[in-house]
Amino acid sequence: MIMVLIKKELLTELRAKESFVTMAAFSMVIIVSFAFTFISPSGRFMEMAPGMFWIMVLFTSVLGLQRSFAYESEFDAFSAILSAPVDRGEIFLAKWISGSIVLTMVETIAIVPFILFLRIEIPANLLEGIGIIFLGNTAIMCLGSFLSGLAMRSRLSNVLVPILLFPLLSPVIIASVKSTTGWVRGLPIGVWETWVFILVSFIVIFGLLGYTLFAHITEE
Amino acid sequence: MNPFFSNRINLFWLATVFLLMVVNVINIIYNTPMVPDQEWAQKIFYVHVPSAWTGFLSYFIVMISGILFLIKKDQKWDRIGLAAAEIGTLFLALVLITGPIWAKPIWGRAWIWEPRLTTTLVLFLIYIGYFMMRSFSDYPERAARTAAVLGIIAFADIPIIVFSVKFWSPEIQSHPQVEMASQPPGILLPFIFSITCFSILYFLMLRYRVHVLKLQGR
Amino acid sequence: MLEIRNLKKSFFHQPVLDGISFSIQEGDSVSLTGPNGAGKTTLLKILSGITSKDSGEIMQSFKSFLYLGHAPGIYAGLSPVENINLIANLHHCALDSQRVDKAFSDFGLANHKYEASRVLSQGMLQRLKWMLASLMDWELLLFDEPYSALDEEGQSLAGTLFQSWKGERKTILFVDHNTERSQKLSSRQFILQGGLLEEDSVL
Repeated sequence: MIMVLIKKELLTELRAKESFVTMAAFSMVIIVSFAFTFISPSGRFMEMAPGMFWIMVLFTSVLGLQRSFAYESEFDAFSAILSAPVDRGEIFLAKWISGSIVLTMVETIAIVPFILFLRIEIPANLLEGIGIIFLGNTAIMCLGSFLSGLAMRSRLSNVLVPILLFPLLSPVIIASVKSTTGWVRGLPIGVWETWVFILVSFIVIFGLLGYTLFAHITEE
Repeated sequence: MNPFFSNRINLFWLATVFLLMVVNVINIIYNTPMVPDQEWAQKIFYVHVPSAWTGFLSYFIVMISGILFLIKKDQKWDRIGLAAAEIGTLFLALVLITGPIWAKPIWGRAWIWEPRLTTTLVLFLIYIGYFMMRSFSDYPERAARTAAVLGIIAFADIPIIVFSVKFWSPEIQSHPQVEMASQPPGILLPFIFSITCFSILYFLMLRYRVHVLKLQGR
Repeated sequence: MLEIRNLKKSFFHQPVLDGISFSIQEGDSVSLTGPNGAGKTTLLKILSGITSKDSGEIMQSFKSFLYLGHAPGIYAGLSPVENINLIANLHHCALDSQRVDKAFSDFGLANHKYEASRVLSQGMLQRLKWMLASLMDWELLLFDEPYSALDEEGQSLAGTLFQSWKGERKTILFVDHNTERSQKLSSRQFILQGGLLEEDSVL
């Protein structure tokens, strides 16, 4: 059943391309704004690059979540899912997984101008970096999908999601930036593994909580 | 007419809390020893730490009543959760005000990212979102459910926030409050007394607020 | 069998359903009428699990049900055929593609099969709901205003379908504002008013 739901999420996104296009465009805008605010035309900015990267991811993920849940509200499509014999926890998992996939796709595109415009040196050990980004994405989308479901029937849900999400994600923001910094500086993994541990525990805790509690917030 | 305080037991506790608080303040001002280097600034700890304790206790109660609300679907638990959230946020605001008052003369700066204060600030922000969620919800019965879930999520986040914030700025030392236990009894006893006063005050406030919410028909 | 006992639901501390009890047997076609804001839609949404109840018991022995709400209830960005397949998958229901093709032409939607559902008119979306109901296996149908926005051709299609369901002794609970029509279609009539439900036994 979860595969049906994930397929549905990705198909809706593939047809409309709303999340993807808005997220990709928004990341470009953020990158250029970073360049104007933090960068002198001659400098290199490796020190700030991890922070800028995760701010970009955080902001674009909120846009993606908004679109993804707007699909559910239009035509009250969500009622078709809710009235079907589908486990509510699986609805959460499908949103989480598909959201992470779309976010990763956007990052794959946005990373090119990010490296190019902000003159980033590509660090060694690409696999480590991919692992960190994967964990960060998964953690952000876990709580993001949950809170979007929580807020989807409120007025001002577009505003509520970031206001609730960002402080709740503060461990993820810190851990992602710290581990990315460790990786970019080429430090051995032992130095920054605590941060990876924080990311993993966040994913486990909120993945389980989200799966169990989603049933209580989907109903009108 | 105020039915809450016309109840004799409640009236007794109101008088007791009032008396205890007066004794507490006098005790803190005149009776506690001056700590070298900190002088008067240190005395704010007799308010700061009990406020933090009641604030976090309150958020713990929000979580417990959230779980009970989801299981029993009894409005009573929603009222307790909302009251605890409100009062907890009030006490954490007190923590955020008294922290910089102490830090300014001691550390020379009103705000440094001390782990426990940072955690308090993050939680305070989460609960601002909590109240916004409650008031912007489509109807109060659903708001009760989302608030219960949010209370659980917020509390589950606390240990991760504490842990990450601590490692985020390891160079910044925590306040010396952990060592409070090893302080001479001149400090420890008034401190325990103050925490007791705050706890009794807290539970009276909670009872009163739950009562008011019930009268409002929530 | 569907049995409801003392079902309650409030919005803004106002009870909309104030202790409703009824039971529906297999083969019943039940119409639900009542003034605006009486809670008809809310009742259907609670029965289908979209809205939570405050208290009360819902017991049922139907293996599967289909809920068709007032809104289209499909993904606006997906085409009608994608939506039909999705909903069938969610209900663990295997659809034969030839049957689907035939249904699309029967309901006059063959030209819009692959377009985004967003471009369909209200009437077409309503036809799509009827088509969905005709394709899927269900033992209980919960249908909110089945006749809204249908043109005459659509109404006669719907009427034929409804009669065939009655012939198969399928169980249907539907909301309709047209008293005359709902009395003709249904075997039992429920009236929801002031938070309470009564069965109209005058007939």
